[in-house]
Amino acid sequence: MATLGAVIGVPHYPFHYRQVSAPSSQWSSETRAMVERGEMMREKLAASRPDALVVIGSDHAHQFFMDNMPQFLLGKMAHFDGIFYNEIREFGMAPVTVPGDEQLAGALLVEVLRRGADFAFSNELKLDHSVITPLQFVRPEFDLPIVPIMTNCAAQPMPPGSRLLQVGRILREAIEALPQRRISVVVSGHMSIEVGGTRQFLPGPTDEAFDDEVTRLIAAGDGEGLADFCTFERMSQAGNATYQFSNFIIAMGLRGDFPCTHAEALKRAGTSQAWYSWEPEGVQ
Amino acid sequence: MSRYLLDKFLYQVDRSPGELDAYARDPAGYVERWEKEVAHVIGGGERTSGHALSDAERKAIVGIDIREMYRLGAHPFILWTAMLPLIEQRHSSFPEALRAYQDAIAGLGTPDWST
Repeated sequence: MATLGAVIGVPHYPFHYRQVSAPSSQWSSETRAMVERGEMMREKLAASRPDALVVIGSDHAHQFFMDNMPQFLLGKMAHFDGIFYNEIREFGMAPVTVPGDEQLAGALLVEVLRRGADFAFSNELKLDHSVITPLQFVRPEFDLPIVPIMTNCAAQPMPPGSRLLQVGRILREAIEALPQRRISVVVSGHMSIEVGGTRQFLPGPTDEAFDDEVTRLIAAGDGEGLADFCTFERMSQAGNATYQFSNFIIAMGLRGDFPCTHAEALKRAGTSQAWYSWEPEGVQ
Repeated sequence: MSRYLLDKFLYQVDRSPGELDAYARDPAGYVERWEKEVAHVIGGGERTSGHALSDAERKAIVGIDIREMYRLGAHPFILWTAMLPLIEQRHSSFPEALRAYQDAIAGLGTPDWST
């Protein structure tokens, strides 16, 4: 039986790569805070001693479009290419290659399907910043094989919070049903955020009350409360792209009996940044 | 009305610098060709007939009219990403380009962007 090492929740703020590419003497206090949090999460992930990672992200209308929009999709490839043309252009990100594990991915998919979550799959998946940016924070060596899972954050309708929580629980059971491995999960998402709408790039967080309440619920270990609070209407009120928070609801199902060891809405211009971790009892 | 096809146009034109440049150079000619040759093609090349651009949508795309595309319910994420490089060509900094986009959609709130 496989062991779940830790669940690490980080942002996928796409401008980070460009900001830290500048000399550190030029970093803003916001960039420094992001680097510090990223380093803390990198250490937590390393301490969990994983031999593979499940990375939960969300394709931002890069590979997926409304002709064929999966709610949940698992990538099965020996390696993955990351970063799309318009991310290079807009965010200054660099293309990368990430190792995969086809056998592990296939086995995980079977276990997920057995438990009633009908994931789609892809044998030709390209990864956007929702997977690459988190890895740049917590495993910048890109040396561990990953199984990427993409959730729909781009097109209405999306699954309700109760289903996200349930899928998280199914994923936990499915991971633990795999043969002997040590697997940790990296989950990424946004807090309140607007993209392409009238409230984007505000001087402060888009909806601070939303960011604080979801973080309070996560710190309190209240998955049901989080799922109930995060209706599509409430998330839309917090910004037209706030649905990208949904992966953290999955994380609340995935965490099982792991206590929350860090929960923070790091406030910065435009959008707060989500930093969460869940680790086995006894880990600080 | 086909909000889906409006989004499909913006999604596809943003796939490569060549497409964006061709659109910006000759919007009317590009859109005419796109509707004929690309708009109704799926997957491996099969065609569908379930969608058509409305006159208002076509006019907005040909006019690179951000306000009108946004008002008609273009996916905000896709609209912003596709339009940004075109706006940036006319402005010397990101803050200026951002201001131009925000001015273009000012007062419109969040139109229904479901498809």
